[in-house]
Amino acid sequence: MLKTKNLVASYGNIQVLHNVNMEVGDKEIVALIGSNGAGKTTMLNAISGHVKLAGQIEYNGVGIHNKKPHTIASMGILQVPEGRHVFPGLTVEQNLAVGTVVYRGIKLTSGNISADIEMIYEIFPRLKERRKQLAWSLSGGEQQMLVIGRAMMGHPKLLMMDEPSMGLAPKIIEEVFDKIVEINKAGTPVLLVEQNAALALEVSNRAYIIERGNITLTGDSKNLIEDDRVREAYLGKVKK
Amino acid sequence: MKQLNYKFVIKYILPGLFLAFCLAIPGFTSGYMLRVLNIALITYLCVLSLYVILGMCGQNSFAQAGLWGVGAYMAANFVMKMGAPPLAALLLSSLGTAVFAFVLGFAFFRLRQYYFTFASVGLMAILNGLFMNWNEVTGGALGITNIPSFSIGGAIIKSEPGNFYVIFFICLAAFFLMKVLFNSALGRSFMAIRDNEIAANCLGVNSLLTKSIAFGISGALCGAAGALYAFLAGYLSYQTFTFQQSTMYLIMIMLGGTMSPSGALIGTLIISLLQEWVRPLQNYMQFIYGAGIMILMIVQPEGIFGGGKAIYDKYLKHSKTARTEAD
Repeated sequence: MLKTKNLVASYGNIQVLHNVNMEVGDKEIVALIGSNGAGKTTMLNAISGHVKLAGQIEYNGVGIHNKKPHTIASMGILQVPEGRHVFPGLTVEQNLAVGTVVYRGIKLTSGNISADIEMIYEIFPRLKERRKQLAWSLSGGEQQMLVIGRAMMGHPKLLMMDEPSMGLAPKIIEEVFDKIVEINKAGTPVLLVEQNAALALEVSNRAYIIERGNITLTGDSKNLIEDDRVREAYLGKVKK
Repeated sequence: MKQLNYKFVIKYILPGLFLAFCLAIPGFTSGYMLRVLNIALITYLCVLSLYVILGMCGQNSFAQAGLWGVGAYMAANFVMKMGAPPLAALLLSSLGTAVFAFVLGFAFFRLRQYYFTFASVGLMAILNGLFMNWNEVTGGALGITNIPSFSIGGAIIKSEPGNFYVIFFICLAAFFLMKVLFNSALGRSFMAIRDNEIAANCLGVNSLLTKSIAFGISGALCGAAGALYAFLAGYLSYQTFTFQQSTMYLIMIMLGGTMSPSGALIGTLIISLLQEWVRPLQNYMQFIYGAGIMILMIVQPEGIFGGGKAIYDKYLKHSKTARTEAD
């Protein structure tokens, strides 16, 4: 569904991505794992059109590498940016409503979106309890749920998540990742960027390991978990 | 006994009383005071335009007085050079200013945040220069005189009360349009951009287009205000449409609260009427505004209306818990 060919991205003189080839198929969770500064976020920003790049990105056979961010979003590739970017001054419900702009366009009516909102509340019942609350007053985990739910409001065909575990308590992280699997089971492919390699490998079908802008290792997640190099670099020392 | 529902009172009865009071104003006010109120209501339209661009969309503009002037000169030219009826001129100049702002928005909103503000300062300076020097259209330094009064169909509205009703109903319409806009998908996109532009982009909001639309809507309001001013005052001079005036709008909306049309109204009325009531203190007015705004930003950054609303919400919550405890 999504394929990158020789993707090169740089900030000024500093090249961040070096000829990255990646693929995300229908219905799978693909994890992109790497340490700080490896180029994970840049990779997502390149796909969603926020970073200038060379090389090719194909989405269902259409080149999207020179399209604007909002065009790419309207084609169904939705990014959940790093660090819980809620709209603090809007209520939970209004936050969710903004998510529909992607496929409904800009309209002067408030639109009938109650069915979509109910769908989100079914996935995240916690949001329903807080629906009239302003987004800034939510806890970190709730904000992360809101951001994911907001992206789901746009009926994504590919959901890209940037560090959904950042700054959350372990218990909440588990809850959020359960929901990600649930969303994926319902038919949305997910491209997951994570520093928490153990967790990412656990929930994903396939994974890419990125180091200093190069994909160094790729394969099925369950094989990667067993791989000595991965264990040493990302999962802690191999137990004997 | 049924308890008095405070929510109902605040939501319907108070605004109803306020409306009735407004309609009765011309009955007991002097002509001079009515003129002051008319100007204040025209100013309100401009402050409302600032609510759209600053309060909703989060982009601070210093060019609103310039757009006001664009609307005013457009209306004057439509009526005097092309012989358009005033009502048509009002609509055309509102539309024209909207298009003007929308197109400029496309250029300006390539700049982010306060860089847009800087650009709007530049726009204000250029527009004021144009008003002063473009003799064929704006009359140059002499301005335009003898602009006919407003009329609907054949009925010429010359008296102060007549003008009051016309302007009042246009303000009322604008007020409710803002409410509609606030609840619409478009308004939500504005607020999404205000709160977090990156996230809005990720959700497919085209921020350049959306911000330009916001600037266009604010242009439409300013344009209507300009046309009304031209018909009311009867003459236009470049000295009216200054940077100073733009700053004044900003002070008004900050005082009332940037987050609602009602706040804009409160701010506008307070400053407009204050200017009349404390004329003897005129030399100190700038000082009073400055100190007042500073104190307000420290004590109540959401403005007078925002502060009032916070107290009301607190009260509602308090009475709700009290009631559940009583049950």
